[in-house]
Amino acid sequence: MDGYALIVSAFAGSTSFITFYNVFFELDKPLVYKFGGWVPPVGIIYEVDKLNALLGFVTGAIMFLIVLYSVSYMKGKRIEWYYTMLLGLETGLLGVIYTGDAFNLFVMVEVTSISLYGLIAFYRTEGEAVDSALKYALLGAVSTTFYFIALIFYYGSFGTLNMADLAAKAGGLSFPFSGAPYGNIFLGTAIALALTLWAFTFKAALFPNHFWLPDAHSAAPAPVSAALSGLVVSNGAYVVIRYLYTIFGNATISTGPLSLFSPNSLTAFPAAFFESIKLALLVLGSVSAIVASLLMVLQKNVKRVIAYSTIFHLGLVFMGIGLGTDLALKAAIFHLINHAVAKSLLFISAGILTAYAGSRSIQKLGGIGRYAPITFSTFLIGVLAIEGLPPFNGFMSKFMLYTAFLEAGLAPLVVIIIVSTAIAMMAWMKVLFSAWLKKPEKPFENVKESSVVLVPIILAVLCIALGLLAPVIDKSILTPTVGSLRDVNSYIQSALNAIGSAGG
Amino acid sequence: MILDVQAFIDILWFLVAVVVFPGFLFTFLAALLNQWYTRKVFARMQNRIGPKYVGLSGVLQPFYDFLKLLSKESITPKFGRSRLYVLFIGIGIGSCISTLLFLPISPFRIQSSFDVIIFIYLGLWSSVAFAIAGLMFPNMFSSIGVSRLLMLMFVFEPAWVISLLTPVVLVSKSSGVLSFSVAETVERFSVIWSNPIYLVLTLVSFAAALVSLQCRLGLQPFDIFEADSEILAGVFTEFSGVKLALASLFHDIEMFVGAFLIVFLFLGGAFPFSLNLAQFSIDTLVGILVIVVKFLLVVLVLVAVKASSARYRIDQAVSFFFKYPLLIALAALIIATIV
Amino acid sequence: MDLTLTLYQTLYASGAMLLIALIVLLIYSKSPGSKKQQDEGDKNEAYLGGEEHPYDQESVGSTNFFWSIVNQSLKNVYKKIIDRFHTYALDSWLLYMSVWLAFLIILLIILVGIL
Repeated sequence: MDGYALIVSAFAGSTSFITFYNVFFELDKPLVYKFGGWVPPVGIIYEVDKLNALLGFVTGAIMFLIVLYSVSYMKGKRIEWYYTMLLGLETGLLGVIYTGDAFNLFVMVEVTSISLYGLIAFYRTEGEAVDSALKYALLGAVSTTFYFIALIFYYGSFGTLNMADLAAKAGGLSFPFSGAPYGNIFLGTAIALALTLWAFTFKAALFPNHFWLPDAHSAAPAPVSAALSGLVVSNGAYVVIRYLYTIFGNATISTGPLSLFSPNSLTAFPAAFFESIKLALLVLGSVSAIVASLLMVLQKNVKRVIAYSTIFHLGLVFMGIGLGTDLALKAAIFHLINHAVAKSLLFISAGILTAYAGSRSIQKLGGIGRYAPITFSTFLIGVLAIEGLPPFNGFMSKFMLYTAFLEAGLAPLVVIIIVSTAIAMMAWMKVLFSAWLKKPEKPFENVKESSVVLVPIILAVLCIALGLLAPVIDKSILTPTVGSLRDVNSYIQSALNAIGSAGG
Repeated sequence: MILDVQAFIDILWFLVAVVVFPGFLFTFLAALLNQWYTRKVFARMQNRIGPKYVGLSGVLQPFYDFLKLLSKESITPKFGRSRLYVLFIGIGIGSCISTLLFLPISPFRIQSSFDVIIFIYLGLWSSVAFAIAGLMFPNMFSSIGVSRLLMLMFVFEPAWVISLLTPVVLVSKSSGVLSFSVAETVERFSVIWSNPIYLVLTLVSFAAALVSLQCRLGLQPFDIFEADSEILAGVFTEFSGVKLALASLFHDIEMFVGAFLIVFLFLGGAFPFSLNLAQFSIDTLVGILVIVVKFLLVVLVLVAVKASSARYRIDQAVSFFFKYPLLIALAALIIATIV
Repeated sequence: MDLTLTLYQTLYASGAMLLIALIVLLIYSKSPGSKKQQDEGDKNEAYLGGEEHPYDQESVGSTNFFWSIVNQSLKNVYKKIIDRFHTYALDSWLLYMSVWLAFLIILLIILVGIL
């Protein structure tokens, strides 16, 4: 069973790499795939531009590493259920990233969520696991229902559910097969966008919608926590970026969030609405960062510390999205990638350490570092990378974020980020200190570092490599990504070309 | 990457800057001379003589102390990690010295837009590395010392960073291009002198930076983590022989680099005179003299406060920092961004 | 682009830092005092000023590691956050989430009303 899962995820990882390579270095416009040969907007298409390709590659690669890790970490128990749900999770994640149709997005989000409900409750004899899975399931179902209502409004006012078509109609162009918009497009757009944002900030755990995250991430098995923190929340952020900057992209030419308060730049309703949404995301991102870092210090369970750190970093990503300049978007996307790598590393090595110690509490983990030095050093590298010390990858993306804020003239936000990083550092010091230097309460037995430590080492090397290669990555990958994000017209044009060509 | 002559020359200058000037050798000499000056002034304030016999008025005393400690046996307690300790002290010293590469006096200058952020992060490595080095020996008193150091780090690092940002923001706003570069702040310091509001803001953050430096160095009234009698010797308990030599070298280098950076960033370096080390003229010599005088005055202030203070408790120190330096520096920074 | 230049400068600065760390390691290994020592008597026990070595209390407990900051300076902040705001009760979660949703919908109503 695990061999099969390994082969399938390796296949998925390599095809996502091929897609990434194709879209970036061979084609120069988005790649379109029509399902069943039906042309958009009658049928569903997958439209892969540079942002999709990049995030898809990251998802495919990290999921492969997670499956590799699960092979040695999860033995016995009910692994046939585990691998089924894990592969379902990967399907849903890749589907959300690659899809070009709003309703298909809903379906794929539900696929992801259903696999997650099962995976979080995997240790079904622990009350905490079932409890957090239930809470996540109820709230998740509510949020995806709200997204469904938003889809009704999209269809009602625009007459179509295809993302390229929505982008065309929002920009005033026309698209074949679906007619002209119906009714008050402004009202329809506004309600639908409000509900969409609410639903996906739930998935991405932005400040008032973050309450489910610590429970769910700490009760799930370690590989699932890695996938949750690294990939699922990145999905939520990706959907927000896609809606704000591609579908309604022509209306969100940003001159910074403070433009809301200068009347000349707002000539029409859409601009005012989007600027205030971006300002709200900026504010909520900052509050997320501060609250999460303050709460991190109080936790007694090491996986909850890491989970609150996820909320903190997603707050930073949303601050970048809310600012909206090119540099801020580059920083946000790079931070999503770095966070995925470093957070998976943290959860994976913490999983190994908690398996050795038999408990997740920081107190009981005392002294484990001396018994498992390789695992502990990968955990240390993960902490240094995520906290943003040079030359690791976290520093590079945080640096771009600071630069974006300084350019926009918002120096106090830089101070907020620095202060919350300092507070979060306190919590990490607590964990590291306890794991390294305390004498264990009773000596740990049968701690031998076997092949399970291979994946953390790969991820640690990746953290360092991403940091050292950051200038190259910035020039050759990130700048084209943001360029393609701003280039809504080629997104629409590729879908139109797909109608023109016959066959699949 | 083609390795042509230009790249080779760049690497050569990089090595010269890191090892000789303003790198390891220059900093080593300057830090130990600074230690002599500190000890002399401190002693005079306590009506003692200070170092006297070795060299001219005791100037060579710190060097002899360093060499003596290098030859003493360094005892490594059970479960201690000497090599890792030396690595982290090395990282601490390295981070202090590499911040000097950002100043205009360095032959290999690290300068670009927004390099103030790299500058800040490198400065953070120095205290973090020292805290980790202190944890390398499993002694109860060391751990308590390190936990106090970390608590203090949580307050003096933000104060340092915020006060450091104020002159950088002011200088880079006054040019058309937003550059936030350390070297440019030093070179165009006259902008701050020409505007009274800018001057007041810079002086306020200068005061905050001085207090933060006092805390970082563990000088009274903030010597809470260092030489405590309450917790034996705090962080320094298990340092002996060579390890003690390296730790006190780190302390001296931190003091020298901290005061040196304050002289350049808040007092303008050779301010009324320009400092162009490429040509040797009377102007350059006067510039160097001005820098030395300002540096000695800054260290005099630090030592004077040290000689006349008792020790704060940890919670008193943290509350003091929150109330005065941190809030005032933050207000100065916010005003600097608005004005 | 200038940003790329700054990222390269980071690598130079970190390289300088590591180079000096190597120099310090070199000094350590070359100095006469760092040669191997014999383990005689209790020379290698941790120096505790005559106290006994309580091995299980070798260091500060993990919950109290930042005692002064959490319990004193930031006590008011934490009290506000935990007691009034971030209680782990499910109904308060729903309250805050609905507040965010209501904010979004009110925002659009106001903006549609204006224009």
